[in-house]
Amino acid sequence: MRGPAEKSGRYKLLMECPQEIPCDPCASACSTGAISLERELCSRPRVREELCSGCLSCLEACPVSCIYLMEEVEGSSLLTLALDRLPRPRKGDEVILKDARGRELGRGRVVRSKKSRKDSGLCILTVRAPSDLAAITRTVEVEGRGAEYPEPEEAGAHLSGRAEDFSVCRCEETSRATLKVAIEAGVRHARNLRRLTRMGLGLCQGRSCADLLLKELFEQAGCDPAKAGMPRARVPLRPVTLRELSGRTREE
Amino acid sequence: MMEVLSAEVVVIGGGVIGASAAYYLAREGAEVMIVEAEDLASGASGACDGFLFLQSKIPGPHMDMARESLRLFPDIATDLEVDIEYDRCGSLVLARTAEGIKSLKAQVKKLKGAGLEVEMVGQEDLKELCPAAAPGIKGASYCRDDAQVNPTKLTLGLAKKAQDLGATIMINCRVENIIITNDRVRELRTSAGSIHTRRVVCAAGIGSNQIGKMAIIDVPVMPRKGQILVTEPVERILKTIVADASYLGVKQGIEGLEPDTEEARKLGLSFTAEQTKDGNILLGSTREYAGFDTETTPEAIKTIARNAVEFLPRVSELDVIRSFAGLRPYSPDGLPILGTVKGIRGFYLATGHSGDGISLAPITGKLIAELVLDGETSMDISPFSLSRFK
Repeated sequence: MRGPAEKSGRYKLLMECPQEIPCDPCASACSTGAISLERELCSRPRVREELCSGCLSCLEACPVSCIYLMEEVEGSSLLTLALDRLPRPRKGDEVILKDARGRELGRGRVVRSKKSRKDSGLCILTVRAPSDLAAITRTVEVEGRGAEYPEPEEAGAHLSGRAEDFSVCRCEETSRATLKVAIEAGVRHARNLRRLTRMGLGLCQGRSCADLLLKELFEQAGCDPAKAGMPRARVPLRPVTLRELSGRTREE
Repeated sequence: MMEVLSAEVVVIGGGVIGASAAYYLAREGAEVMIVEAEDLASGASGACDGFLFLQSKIPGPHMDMARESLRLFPDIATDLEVDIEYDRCGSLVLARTAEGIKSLKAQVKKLKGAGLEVEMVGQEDLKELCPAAAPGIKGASYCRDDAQVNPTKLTLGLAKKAQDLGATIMINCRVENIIITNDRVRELRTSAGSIHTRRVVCAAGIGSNQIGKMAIIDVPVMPRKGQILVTEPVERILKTIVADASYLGVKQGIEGLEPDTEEARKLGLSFTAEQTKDGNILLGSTREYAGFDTETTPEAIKTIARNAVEFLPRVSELDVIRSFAGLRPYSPDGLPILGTVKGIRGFYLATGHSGDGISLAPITGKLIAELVLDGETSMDISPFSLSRFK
């Protein structure tokens, strides 16, 4: 287990979130102030590595598993990442290091593999790898087991393992339970579900809501997700100011 | 498996009008059932703004009904468990030109004659009532009694309360035929089976024409599209609901108050703005005939945005997060169609509210309940009868 940092600057924290969407679980999870949202909910997180204690709370909290923690130890790197795919690598496994585009970079070895404390099905994995490769590694795959398809039960458990109070819609904080109640009460159209539960009506307009969960919930209630008419995309696809929409320049 | 259901009164349509009728019927102890083809508030009631806008009504029966309706809102707000976000915020109609002011003054005079508390305000007062208004706006008419409400919550709240009072709500239940024998309604055939009933209220909004055909009557309701933009939520910018003078021009065909650009005239577009309780600003709206199409269009969005920037420069840098369109059940004269139908006992119409369904919902529900249960109403509804189109 990692204790509090002995000296500041021991850890490197990489945050690979490219979108400015309303999302703050990393900042909320961080107890040392190493991660903060500077301006507003949609801002990308600001990282102050000197404050990071290496507690990994942010990795567990990130809904899209895009946080990486690196530590230099004896000439190589320990890279910790949250793996959201099955199968889960085990301690001692040799793994293939892959970059953001899935290209093979080289090999590393798992020094720690642990299921997330949260009931998310995530695996928090620490891999020893050459420092130059660790910095650009974005996922890993178990040698020889990569093609193995996980057992369906296990894959299903991964999805439905989401807790009932899990906010499917983070903008409006609509929980899985709220959606379930509405669907069980007879709502059969996703756009009506949106109207009734406010899911997808916030700042991001459903761009970061979990389609999969919605699909799963409709399926559970015994109705065809294809007929539920997932809410359609409408202008504007991302927030645009009124001035821009009006076709005016700032000076006019 | 089709089961046979029955109810004393069946209300076709789970929009605001149907929900209100069911609410008032259930309050009187009637055994009522709402039959809704999709979900509650899935039509116009869930895709509109929440204006309760007396200033925009035509003096006469239309205005009288709207005024009675507005009086019912505070009690409804207290009675329902759902917070309907009712706010007596007042309304402003803005005029940009000297001609606009002149026409607005004439309008105010007419409204005052009808007993409405409405007044002209100059630029100084406007700064207080609507600090976000552009400096170029010459003046406005102000009605302190006007209000706003959350239309979806109003619909859901009324339906929920009706249900608590014993009403049954059937969703995903499409009416397929109405069985009438000896000039009397007997039965509804629906996708969920047969419903035996002797009284049917048609509150089907834009579906009313189709429902009418099942009873071999022509209900002249057609869909008219209104497009609306939604901004990100912000701190309070608008104290009142706001429209520009061309709103009255478009709505009532008042001379001198038409929209000033060709584009806006074509779209039937006038400017409206309201800020919801959550802080989002809803900007509207168009009046277009586009069949049952509910797409939003680039021309309308651009024109609405341009209006917003011109009338309320402070909103220019706000992000628009969504656009939507709703289909209003438009009648040929823009007034609702209420009451019984000659030759068919047990068939009642509560439809064609055009752009006024939200504000007229309480009084419509109340009067329909009276008509169905007592055979007479506390207000004269003859100006709204179907027979006026003959």
